[in-house]
Parts: sequence; structure tokens; C-alpha cells
Amino acid sequence: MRRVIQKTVDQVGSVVLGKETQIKLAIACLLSEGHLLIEDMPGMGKTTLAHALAKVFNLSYNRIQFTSDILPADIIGAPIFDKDQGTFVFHEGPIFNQLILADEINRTTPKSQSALLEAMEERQVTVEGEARSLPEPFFVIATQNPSNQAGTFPLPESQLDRFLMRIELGYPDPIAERILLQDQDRRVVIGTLATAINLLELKELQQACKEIKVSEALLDYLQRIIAYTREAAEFTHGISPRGAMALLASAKSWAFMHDREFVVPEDVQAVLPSVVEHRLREASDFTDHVGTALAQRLLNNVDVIG
Amino acid sequence: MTDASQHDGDNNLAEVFGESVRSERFNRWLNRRMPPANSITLNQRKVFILPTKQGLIFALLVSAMVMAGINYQNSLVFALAFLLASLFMVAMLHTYRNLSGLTLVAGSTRPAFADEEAEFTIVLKRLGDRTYESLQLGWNPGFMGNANLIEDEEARVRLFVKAKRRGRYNPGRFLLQTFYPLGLFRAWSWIDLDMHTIVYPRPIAGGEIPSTTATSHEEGELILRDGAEDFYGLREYQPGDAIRHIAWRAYARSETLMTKQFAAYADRRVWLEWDHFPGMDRESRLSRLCYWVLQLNSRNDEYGLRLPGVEVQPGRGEAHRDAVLKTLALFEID
Amino acid sequence: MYQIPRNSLVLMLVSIALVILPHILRLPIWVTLMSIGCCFWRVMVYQGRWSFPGKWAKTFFVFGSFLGVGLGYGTLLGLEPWVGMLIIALVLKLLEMHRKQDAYTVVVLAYFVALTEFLFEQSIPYTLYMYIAITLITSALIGLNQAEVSPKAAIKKASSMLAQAMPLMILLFVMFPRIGPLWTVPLQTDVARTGVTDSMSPGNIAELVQSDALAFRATFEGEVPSYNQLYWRGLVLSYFNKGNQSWTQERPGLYGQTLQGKNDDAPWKGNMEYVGEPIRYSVILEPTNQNWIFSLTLPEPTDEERLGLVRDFRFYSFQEIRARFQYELTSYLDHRTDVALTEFWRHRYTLLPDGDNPRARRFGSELRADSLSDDEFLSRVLRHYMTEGFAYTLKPPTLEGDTIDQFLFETRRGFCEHFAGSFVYLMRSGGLPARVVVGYQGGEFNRRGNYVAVRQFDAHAWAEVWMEGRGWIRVDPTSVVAPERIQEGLEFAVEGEEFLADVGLSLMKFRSSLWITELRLQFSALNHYWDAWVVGYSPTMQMELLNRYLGDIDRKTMGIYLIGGFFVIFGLVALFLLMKRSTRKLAPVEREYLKYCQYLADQGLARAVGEGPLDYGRRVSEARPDLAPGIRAVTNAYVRLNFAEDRPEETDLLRKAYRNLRIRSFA
Repeated sequence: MRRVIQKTVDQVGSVVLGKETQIKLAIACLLSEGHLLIEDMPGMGKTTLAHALAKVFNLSYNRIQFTSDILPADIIGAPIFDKDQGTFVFHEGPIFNQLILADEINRTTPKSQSALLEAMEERQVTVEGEARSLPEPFFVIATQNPSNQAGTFPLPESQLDRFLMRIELGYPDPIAERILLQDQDRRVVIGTLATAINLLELKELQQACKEIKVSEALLDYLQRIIAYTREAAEFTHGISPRGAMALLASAKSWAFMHDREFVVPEDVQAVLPSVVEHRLREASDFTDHVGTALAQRLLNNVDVIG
Repeated sequence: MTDASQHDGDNNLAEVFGESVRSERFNRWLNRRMPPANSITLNQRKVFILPTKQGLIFALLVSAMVMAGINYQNSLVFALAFLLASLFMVAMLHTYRNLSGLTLVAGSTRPAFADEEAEFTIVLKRLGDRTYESLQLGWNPGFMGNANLIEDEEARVRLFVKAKRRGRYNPGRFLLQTFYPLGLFRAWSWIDLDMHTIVYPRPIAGGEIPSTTATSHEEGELILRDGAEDFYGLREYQPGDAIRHIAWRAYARSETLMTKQFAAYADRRVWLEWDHFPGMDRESRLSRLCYWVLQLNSRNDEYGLRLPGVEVQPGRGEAHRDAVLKTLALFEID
Repeated sequence: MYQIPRNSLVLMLVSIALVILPHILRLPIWVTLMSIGCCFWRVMVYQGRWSFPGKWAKTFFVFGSFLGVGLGYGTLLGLEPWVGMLIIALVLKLLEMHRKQDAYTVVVLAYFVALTEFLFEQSIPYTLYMYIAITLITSALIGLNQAEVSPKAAIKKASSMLAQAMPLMILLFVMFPRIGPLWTVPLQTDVARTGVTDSMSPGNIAELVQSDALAFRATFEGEVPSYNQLYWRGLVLSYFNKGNQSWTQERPGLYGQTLQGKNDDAPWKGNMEYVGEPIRYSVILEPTNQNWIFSLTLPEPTDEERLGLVRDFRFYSFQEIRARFQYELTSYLDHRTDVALTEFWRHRYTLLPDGDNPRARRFGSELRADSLSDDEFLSRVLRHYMTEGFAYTLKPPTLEGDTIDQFLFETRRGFCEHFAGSFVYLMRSGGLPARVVVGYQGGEFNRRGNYVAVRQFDAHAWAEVWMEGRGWIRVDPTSVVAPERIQEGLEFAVEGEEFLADVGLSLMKFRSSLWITELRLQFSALNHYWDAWVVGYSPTMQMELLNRYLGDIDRKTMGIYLIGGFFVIFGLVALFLLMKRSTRKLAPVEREYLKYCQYLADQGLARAVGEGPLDYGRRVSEARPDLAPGIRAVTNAYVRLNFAEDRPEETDLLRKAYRNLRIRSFA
């Protein structure tokens, strides 16, 4: 792996223990200029991961805790009446940061959700008819509780598509957990993290990822995967063109992170579950496949050659 | 798939293509020859071809021309007759070619209510240079879907089949045929892409859901909503409040910024119960429950379902509705 | 209601116009107008401006037009009325085209109308034209079955399908057993044909030579005899009518038995003595509506069923030649006939009517009396033509009364029939048996086609005189007066007079222009081959051809060959059509990589579907550490070519790596 990337992975890994794959995926997501959705139970280290990433990549960071009564203005900011001058002054909300942790996004109303999602998509917010650009880079890590608990608003499928990847963190393995229990508080550890990369370097890396070579053979493979999702009976709908582009962009970043100038099928396969799972929906099939199983089926049924 | 659903499809076909061709034995033979599969590529084992009525008339024309050639001892009349005879043979190859190599893949399906049309999408794909033209496919000869694969590499055809009973529905084999290019031959195949969908009970209006009548303001839970319509009151302005909700008139009076508050009443959760419809048989109950699911869903109420042995927690939205309907559709079928 | 696709309708109307067009001159004008009207009506119906004709209108049209055909032609039985009715049915069906089935009927009728064209015309240009028409009819048929009709696509498809049908068509054409007519069918009504007639009076050949129409073409197996040897005997005229002063044939009954077939026997068969080399040739005769057949003297009897050899050594066809007719003959230019002439025939050939042409008769008998021998008499008569101011002309003065006297002693300007007629008259006056022979002399040799084309202006009349001990000898008095006619042809003999004056524009007039002649000869040669091998392909030719290439075969073997050939050609066409694989082809580098996968699979290490090359390489290397370097090399080569460099056509690197892997594994 590229030294600079390796350094960031190591740094983040020193805080989020035993989750190297997820960390790499998160970084790939950041390099692809996409947004990340983490779906897991509370207390699995989602916040820690986001905070650590911000620290290592030297990004301004803010956390928005979504609740049922949060309003769009609480996220994007609002004009505030200045009594002295008698005019409204725009007060930037927490979204005006480079890395946003949108915590428990499914706890809030669709209206507030879409305020965030629109900002993610357009990388700008429009308040009272005036467009305001968000900082560069702009990276949202949203978290969502997986279960359909009462009083939650799961993100609709159409909105899920806006996240480049969706990952799960999962329980740490016993060794990692032991260290976690023995060691000091994670928040303290984060404070000790050194910045591994500056803003300019990050921009260069993002650009380099875009320039990774993609051969015709690989595009064939990619299209075969996409076609399979659109045809096979187990999916109600296939991967959208946006999903296809997301898959390619992620595979490119993955290839870049692994010292290749070109994409190989393994790159696509590595990022595929994270990129497509939340974009697929099982058909009115009678077995309750989870997304992971669907993605695995995809990998097993679409040949690399041919 | 159950036997019942399998039969539905067969009955359809029997009506459509006549008993003689779709005898039980023929069916078994077809199943051996081309077993149901999600994806089928046509080859000589799967394509049948015979001259059409027009083809027979054409053959008659050629024979008449040969007779004319013999009686007039005219070589060019012979030549024309033989040219058309050869054209006939070539047409057979072209018609066969217009099916062979074609790949059919089961696409998505859309559930239906009983006695309504269920939707099946069939994906036709071509690989390589061969093109396909004027393909007809469907379960019902009166409503055949058409497809061409000339420039595109794949085509999607949406077909509708009337679903008779609730449950899982497999429409069975459909007909794929073509007369292209001359209409002298018909090449066809019966294809089973192993597709199925869910058929919901037929919604029948009726019965009362006791708790749904009580959506009055008094019993409902009041919540404040930004987008609601009913004006509820004023409160002091807080940063972040929308400017258009500021009560300017109040400001003019009192020099204090006030924000208008709007409210709506959240409806109660409704339970749809098996016992709401006493004295009815199973299907009648399910039909009425189905009707109420649709009603509640259109009012965006939160509702749950309780059937003997099955319970669906209350919820709202399309996904929830589909889950509830699916439960109704499959109730006591598995 | 079913609506014919617009473009299909357009193709249909165009093809209908194409198949009707060649018939127009043969059709009553009202049928043509009606056809145009019906097509127009159909277009209006399509545009929704007019409606289909009602039931009564249709009934009226059908009966009215059949009545019209019957009255127009005078009969309903006959080729022309049939074609007329067929065309009317076709255009009326256009106005009844409600269902798709009706459109098929229209197409079938159009094909049939196309067929009828060949009953009238069989030339190359017409055939090409009809091929285009057939292509358009076929594309109309395609249009009926296309989802998105585009005329261009339909025509293209029709053209390619017809081209693919060609090989089978040729096989059927050559091999399909040809049999004789099963029943008689109405033929084309007689049209005026130019050609020699069985009655010769002064002036009628001179009239004939105003035409450049083809009479027949002859292909010689060996050398073509010299021009002045090409006397094509057609008719022997030995009876002089006093009334109209014309020469006619003997009454057929007088001839007795004709020879049919080589082995046929007749009492007079021995009167033919063949000397010298045989000349074999085949003749394609244009229709004459007459029975006579042209041959060089002296022909052998032939097995051709339609021909019989008559007592005066010429052929006669038992049926009138209404279509182009091809026959093969063998002749001997050196020969002797009727060395001994019976008294009966001697009488017939010296017979002259009583009391006409007294001066000629006296001149002849006196000249014979003055001569010591028949030979001397003959040469003195010829010298008379040479020295007494006789002139060869296309425009001889009109003769009245005793035409021979008038010609011999007054006008002295005449054409070949004047010379031949008067010469035979003089011979008979001198008591020598003589007769007039009518036919053609000469012909144009076409080097490209190796045949001699004989045209109407080559028509000629000459004489045959019987000499004691020598039999019949040919004497051509024209050759004495105008030797160029016999040596080179008519236009050289009549220099100064306008050749083919009455024919408007004829390429024959430009015989002196080299390149026009060359072009004309090439086209004629093409026509000749067409007529000889395609139009003239007869049951006899078929048997001969098949015998030549397939050996001596009977009908049954021929059938086996036909069926076998049919399947072979059909199979080849099918292969051609279905060969284009419907699956996407793998890139070379992928094929090469799959070989490697197969190689490892044979050793129990198959690649899983969906397993990438790197993962697979890793897995296999772990299982077979001994092969690890080779596997790495193959994997690297493959990944490099297919993904890094995107050059899936190049396989060298991969092939080399794979070879090394195998060598190593073998070691």
C-alpha cells in the first residue's frame, strides 16, 4: 500500500482497533469524494472512527446528533436577526465543516434528512434563495441504527443512493476488545493522534485516484455485474447508473491505495459489497436475503472473464 | 411454488393454445426439453418452426408456377418458380435465425391484487452481431408484447397476466414467436423463466375498523409540525426559525419577534384484526383486511396487522404496506 | 381495422406498377387507366380521404372489367385476356385489402403477374428488370412483417435473401427434371413475324431485307465455313403459279415419307451421299410462326422429335415455331443427291404452266438447242445475266403480267428472287430439272460468341439444277450479277442505295464503325449465350449436360443427385446464415488465459466463477508452491495485458509465460 495511505490507516487503526478493512474502505470513500454511511448499533466506535479520520486527515470536524425535533436550520444554519443593525445575518450551521458526523440520521424527520442529503449531493446549501458553498473537501459520515425501531425514519432507498458506501463496523475481535478495555479512553487517544496528511496532499491523492486506468476488459466485467443486478429475479431493481459510477470510482481508489495504476477485478470485488448493498433491494422473493448475501451472489455468479 | 399456483398458469395456456398442443404429456415433454430457468438461450432444441397458412399458399403459388413452366416450356418461368422456392427455404432459415441465439432473462415482477393483471418483465438480450426483429411474446395471444433487438443489445418487455387467486403466482410458460421476415414461417418457443410474483387478496370494501373512527382531535396525539397547516399559536422567536413563519404583525405591535406555530394531529396506531369481521370465511376476511390496508395507507396512518399466528408491527410507508399485503397474500398458504 | 404499414403499402404500389408496366402495350388502355385509378384510390383510402368501395361497386368493377376484357379481346380464353384479368384482379384486390391476409393475396398475385411477363419476353434486360420487380415485391412482403418498417431496410433484406436463394435456384434450374407439357395452354396471340414465306414472287424478298431483325443464330463446333458457303436452305419452291407468277412449294403429299430420327428409313434415304467432313452446328431459331427449319446442305437426319427430313433434303418442323427453338444438326458441304432422278420427279422439276412468259420460254429452249450440253446451256444462261446489262438492286421496278419476260427482256433490274426465279424458269424451258431455294445466305460471325448471326436482310433465293450424273447442284445467279452479295453481304452489294432505308435507327447501319460494331457484337454474344443456355435450356439439353458431367444417368439417379445437391447447398446456406455466432467473442488474451485456467483445472485447481486472476493466482500458488513463480508470471502477464495496458489482442507475453509454466511443471 502507498506509504502515505498506510500511515493514515495505521494512525486511525491505532484508535479504532481491529477494523483495518473498514478503515480502508472509509479512506477509499474519502478519496473518491463520496460519503459514507455506517450502519451499526450504538457504541460500536462509529464516532471514534469519524473523529479519528478527521484528526488524521486534518479536517475541520463537527458532529450533528440527529433527533426527532432537529430542524433543517439546526443543520445548515439560519439567518439571525441582528437587533443592533435590524438586519438578518446568516449564521452557518454545523454542516459548514469538512468532515461531518451525522449521527443517528434515522432518528430525525425526512425533512431534516433531506436537508442534509441535498447538501451532500450538491456540496452547497441554499438558504432564503442564496446559495452558499460548503468547504472543500466535504465528507459526510452518517450513522444509522439498523433495526426498525419505533419512531425512526429509515432513509428511503432513493436517498441511500447518495452514499457512496455503506459499511458495518461489527464487534471487535477479542484481542482488540481486550486492548480496548485495558487501554485508556479512546477520546484521549484521539487527542494524541498526529496529522498524517495535509489538505493539499489529500487533493492530490483524490486527483490521482481519478486518473487510475480502467481497461475495456474491466468495464466489461463491471457492466456484466450491473446487468446481472438489473436482470436477475432476486432484485426488484438493479444498480442505477449513479451506482455504477460509484462502483467504478471506489474501485479506482481501491486500486490506487494498493499501488496499482490500473483497476483489476479484485478491486471491484473488494469494494462491491460496500458500494452496492444499500442500492439493491431484494425482490418479492421468499427468502430474506440480506444485502451481503446478494452482493456475494453477484460476485459468485458474474464471471471475471467473458 | 405450490401446485395450486402452477395450475393457474397451465389453465391459462390451455385456454390460449388449445388443449391439443398443451396436453399433460406435451407439458412434461416440454419440461424435460427445456426446464424452467431464470435465463434461457434459445437453440435448435428449443425453437419450433412450421410454415404458416401464408407459407402454404406461397408453396402453392410456387407449384403453380412450376406447372406454368412445364406447360409453357419456358425456362425463365421455371427460373422464377425456383427462385421463389429457394426464397421459401431461405425464409425458413431467416425465421429460425430470428429466434435462435436469443437470450431471455427473467426480469422484475410486480405483485397484483387477485383478478388484476400482474406485471412480469422479460429481458431479451442479444450477444454478437445477430439482430432480432418483430418478436412477439406473451401469455395471452390477444396482448402480445413486441420487441426488436436491432440497434439495442437488450430489450425489456412488460407483460401482464391476469392473476386469479391470491398467493404465489407462477404464470407458467409463455409463447415467444416470430414471423419475420416474410411471414411464411412461424418460429416459436414456449418458455418458462421460472418467474413468480405475489397476488394479494382482492380488496373488498366493507366492515368497520373500530379504532379508525376515532381520529378526532381529542383522541389523537398532538404534535407540532413545521409543514402542518393548522395554526396553533405563537412563541418567541428562536434562531433557526424560518423567516416566513415570523409573525410580522405581532412584531409591529410589540417589537418582539414571534414565530407562528403550526400543528397537526398524529393519528393513533391502528390494529387490523382478524376478528373485526366475524362470521366471514377466510378469503372474505382477507379481502376486507386488504381493503383497509389500502385505505389506511392512503391516509398515511400507522397500522399493524394481527392474523391468527401472524403479527405485523405497526408502521407506515410503501415498504410497510407491501409487507402487510404480502402477509395477507401468503396467509395459510405455506 | 388492420392498417397496412405505410411503407409496406408504398413498396407494394411501386412493385405493382413495376410488374404491370411491361404489359401496358399489350393491355387495352382502359386496364392501364383502371390500374392507376385503383392505386390512387388505395392511397386515398390510406390517407383517410376516401373510403373503400362498397359491395355493389366492387361487384360492378369485377363483372364490368371481366366483360370489358371479354369484349376487348373477343374471348376470355387466351393468354392476353388471362393476363388482363390477372392484372385487374390484382389492382381490384388493392381496394379490398382490409386484413393482413388480403395483403398476402396481393403479393401472391403480383408474383404471378411478374411470371406472365416471361411468357412474352425473355431477353436479358427484361429479366433484370423483373428481378428488380421481384425484389420489390419481396420487400413489400417483408414490410408486412417488420415492426418498424423502413423501406430501405426491407429492400436490403429482400436483396440479400434473394441473393442467398440464388445457389439453390441455380441447382433447381439445372437439375430439376424437365418434362414435356402436361396439357396445352393458350399461347400468345400471333404477332406479325418477319421472315421468308413459302411463296416467292418478285419483290417480296427485297421487302424482307429492309429488316435487321434476327432470324437465327448458329454455333459451329469446329471451323465456321467461309461466307459464300453459308447457304441456309429453308424452303424449296418448285411449282410456278401462272396466276400470280409466284414460286410455291410442292403439295406435301407428293414428297412421300419424311425421315424422323437417325435410324428412320425411307426409300429415298439412299439418294443422299455424304462426302467429306461433317460440320456440326446448333441453331437457335427465332419464332417464325412457320414450320420451316434452316440448315446447310446436306444435313443428316436428326433425333430431335419435332423435326423431320423431307424428300427435298431440308427439315420441316411438325409444330409451328412460336417460341425460340434450338436444334442441332450435322451437315456435309460435299455431297451428292438424287444422282438418279426418276421420271416422275424429272417431270415435276421441268414443269411449267402453259402459255405464259413466251419469250423466256422460247429463249430457254432455243439456247438449249444451241448448246452442246447441259453444262454449256447453264453457262450460257449465266453469261447472259452477266453480259446483258442486268443490275442488282433493292428497288426493282414493279412487274406486271408475264413477270419473267418483263424482267429478262425489259427491266433487267432485280433482286435475288428475280434472278433465281427467272433462272429456274429458263432452265426448265431448256428441259433441265431446276428449282428455287429460299433461305438465308451468309450471316455475321461473332468472334466473342463463336456463332453466326443471321438476320432478315440476309434472306436470299437461289436455284438448284439437276445435272445428269452429278445430281442437284446449287447455282446462284445473283452471284454472277453481284458477287459481293455472296462474298461479303448485302450492304456491299447495294452500295449507293440506302441499306436498311426503312429501319429508323439500327446499329446494323454502323457496321463500318469499329467500336460500335465491337460493342454490338459483345452484347449480341451475351444475348446468344443467354438464349442458348438459359432461355433455351430444354429437356434435351438438360439430359446432355447432366450426362456430360455426371456420366450416363437415368432419371432416378438424377433425382438422387438433385436431392443430395439440394441438401448440400441448403446446408451451406444455413451454415453461412447461422455461422455468425450469437455469443460475444472472447479477446485473444482471455482465451489464452482460459487455457491456463483449464490447465490448472485439469490438475484439480479450477478457477471459481467470479474469481479474479490475482485471487486465483494466490490460491493456486499456495496449493502448488512449486508452480508459484510460473503462476505469478502468467498472472502478471494477463493482468498487464488485459487491465494495465488494455491490449487484449496481444498474447505473446502471456503465451510465453504459460509455456514456461508448463515446461517447469513438466520438469
